[in-house]
Amino acid sequence: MYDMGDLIRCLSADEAVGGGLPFKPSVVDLDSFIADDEGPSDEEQMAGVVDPSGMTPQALDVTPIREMAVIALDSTAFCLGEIPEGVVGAVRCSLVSSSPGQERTLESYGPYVFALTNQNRQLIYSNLYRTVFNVEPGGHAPTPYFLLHRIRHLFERKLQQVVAAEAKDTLVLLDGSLIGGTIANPKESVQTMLKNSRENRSIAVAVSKHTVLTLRDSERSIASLLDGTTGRCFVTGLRKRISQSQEKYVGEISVARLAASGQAFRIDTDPDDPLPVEDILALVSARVAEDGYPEELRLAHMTCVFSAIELLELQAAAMISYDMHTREDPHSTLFPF
Amino acid sequence: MRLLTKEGDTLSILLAPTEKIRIGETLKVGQIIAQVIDLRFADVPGVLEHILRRSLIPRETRDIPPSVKSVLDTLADHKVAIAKIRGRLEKTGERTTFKSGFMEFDLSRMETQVERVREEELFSLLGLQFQGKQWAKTLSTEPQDFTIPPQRFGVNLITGIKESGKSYAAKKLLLTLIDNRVVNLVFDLNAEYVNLWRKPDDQPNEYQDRVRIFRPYVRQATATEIPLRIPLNEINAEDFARLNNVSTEASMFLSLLQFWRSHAGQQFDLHDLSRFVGSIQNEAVRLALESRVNAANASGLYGPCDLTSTFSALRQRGGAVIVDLSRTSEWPRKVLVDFVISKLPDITRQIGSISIFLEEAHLYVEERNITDIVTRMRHFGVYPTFITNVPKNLPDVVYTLLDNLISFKVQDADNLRQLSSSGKVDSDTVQTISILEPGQCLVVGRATNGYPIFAEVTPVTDVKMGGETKPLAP
Repeated sequence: MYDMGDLIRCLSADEAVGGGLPFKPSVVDLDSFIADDEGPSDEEQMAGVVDPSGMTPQALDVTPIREMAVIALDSTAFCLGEIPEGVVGAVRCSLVSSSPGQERTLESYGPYVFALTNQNRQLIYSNLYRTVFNVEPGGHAPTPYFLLHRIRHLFERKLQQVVAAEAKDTLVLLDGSLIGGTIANPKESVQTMLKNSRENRSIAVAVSKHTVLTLRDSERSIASLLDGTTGRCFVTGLRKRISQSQEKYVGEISVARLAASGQAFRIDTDPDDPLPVEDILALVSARVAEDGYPEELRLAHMTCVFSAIELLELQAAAMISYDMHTREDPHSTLFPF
Repeated sequence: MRLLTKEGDTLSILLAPTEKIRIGETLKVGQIIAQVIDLRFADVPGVLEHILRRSLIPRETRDIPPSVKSVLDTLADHKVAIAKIRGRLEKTGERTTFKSGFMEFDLSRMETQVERVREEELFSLLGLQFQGKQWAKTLSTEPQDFTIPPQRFGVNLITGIKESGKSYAAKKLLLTLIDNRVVNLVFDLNAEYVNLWRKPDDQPNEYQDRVRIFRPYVRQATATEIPLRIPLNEINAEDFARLNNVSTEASMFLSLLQFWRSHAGQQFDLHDLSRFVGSIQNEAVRLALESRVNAANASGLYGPCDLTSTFSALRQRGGAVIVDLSRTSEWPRKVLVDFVISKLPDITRQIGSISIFLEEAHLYVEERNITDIVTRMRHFGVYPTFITNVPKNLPDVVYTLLDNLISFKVQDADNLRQLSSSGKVDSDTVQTISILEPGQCLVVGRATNGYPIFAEVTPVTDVKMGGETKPLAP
């Protein structure tokens, strides 16, 4: 397993929280299948528009299938509850590895439980950002709830960095996109990760379940580029057709249906990878299930999100760690509407 | 521990993962006394999904901070103790007593304290006091000595599957009775009791003078065994005929009947029979009967046998007469046992009362005799302990009149039903018998004032408890 000690130390840098603080736990629905608190994504702040003119889907040839080691990463964060001036949250990352002829393995990082307040958010954010990207953050820390999700993102980026630097001859599957140059995601960091992957003869691919990139005029998602088509197919070269902030999209952007009856997903690839995009997509398509989503990435997601039972346990762990007691909110009790 | 639900006379108690409790332990829920009869996982919503996700990738390594690790995965491990309400506590002045049954239910799930009742306190509430050598220890987290005092004996049943520990328990119970100066009679079907007078290294032990072994077909008494013979005048012509291969339809049998009738009410032996046979006119009958009488004489099965004086000799210090039936075939075994049982009223007249141990009684005691033992002979001071693998082989009258049930592991549903038919234990509690470990048992009846006690028989160190078995290979 990779050492996440530096990041964990950043989270516990501030010891001021605790000592009998009241804690209002988030409502946990024990009957829901998973408790997922996606939080805001970095890309939502910059919804790009793509010019679709002249783009036609191509069939994706998936033979011959090349066997390759795969590592998939995902992370999750959940707001366990509120404290005066902040929140207590938990973060967990999953790393699923698969090698030809071997059983899949899971490395689970966390849950890491931490308290974020208006008083400690800047310190924690600055320390973490510096630890992950080796530069000072470009702005102030967001509010505690948003910082929780930023911290999840930082943990995931850190894992992506170490995997890219150490995994050789591996298809590295990431959740999301290869966007860079945003507040939370320096462009250099994404470029370094892609460069390290290339040097290790690995291939980094990011798969988005949702994308905010839309088509000019129709304002429909770019996934609609494959509407009306059947079978495995793709369109690529979308990056150069983005009208705004094109420089922040570090990866080449394609839309592909990787399984014959699956859904279309946005897929970001390393533009400097020696393999053509079509070949990379063919490699990914060898890992997908019927719905067209890579199996290892699905497992990484399923193993990192918290079950309702875990959330109750984490709330208990938080209360023990920070010596907190539960608080009735008189306002919501008396005025539930 | 928190009270979760109540259904009928059954409580569900939620246990935190750190709270350890064992089946058989007693809980005080407010003023209600309940006994744990099962432990289950708490039915937490979402647990299936939680476990399914954890099982997606079996090969998993985890990096979890210690503060989280101590709490994570604990909720799925919460357990529920299923506890049977046995009764309630009643306070009279300074004294608290146990009363079975409950007509009030004044419990709060939020407020009522659930506490473990120590066995010592439970025994005090039940009015049970044990002195001297102990037979077993209770199965609670704080084990307590437990025994069945002779004063609480009645019609007893020790049952359990093979290797469950019932014979060991019976032997140890026998030793505790001897220690309490009780005189015992054992019908030993498999020569399991014949070494009780030895130490494990075969040297004599403290019971040497108090264990007497009677064996059929032995010609001469020795230091360790006494011939068990049948006085001819104490069996009938039919028994003699069957034992000596004489058809009851042959002329020979008529001659035997004639002899028995002519000697009715008198003392007679094989010599008298031999003389009678020699006087028979019909040569064919005479010769045939002479050969039978000679064979009977050679068998050593007939002759004087003063059982009563042997029992009388044990009266002062207590002891056991072991009737070794292991080398006896079916018919002589039944005749021998019938003979010994017929002597019981005489014996009890001499010594007061007697405890008898009957291993697999259905194999050698007629049902009418079992009924006689558990009904009529109780009034003579005969206290039977039946030991069997298969409870349903014993007649129903045993269960109707049962005073103490000592059950080791029994799995078969029919046999479990048979045990609950005794009325000593409810059908839910009887199911716990199927999960007992070797050596563990459920005791309920007069010995426990009707409260089911789970116990484990403690080992005996200075007595050779094993029988005379011949291993298949050295």
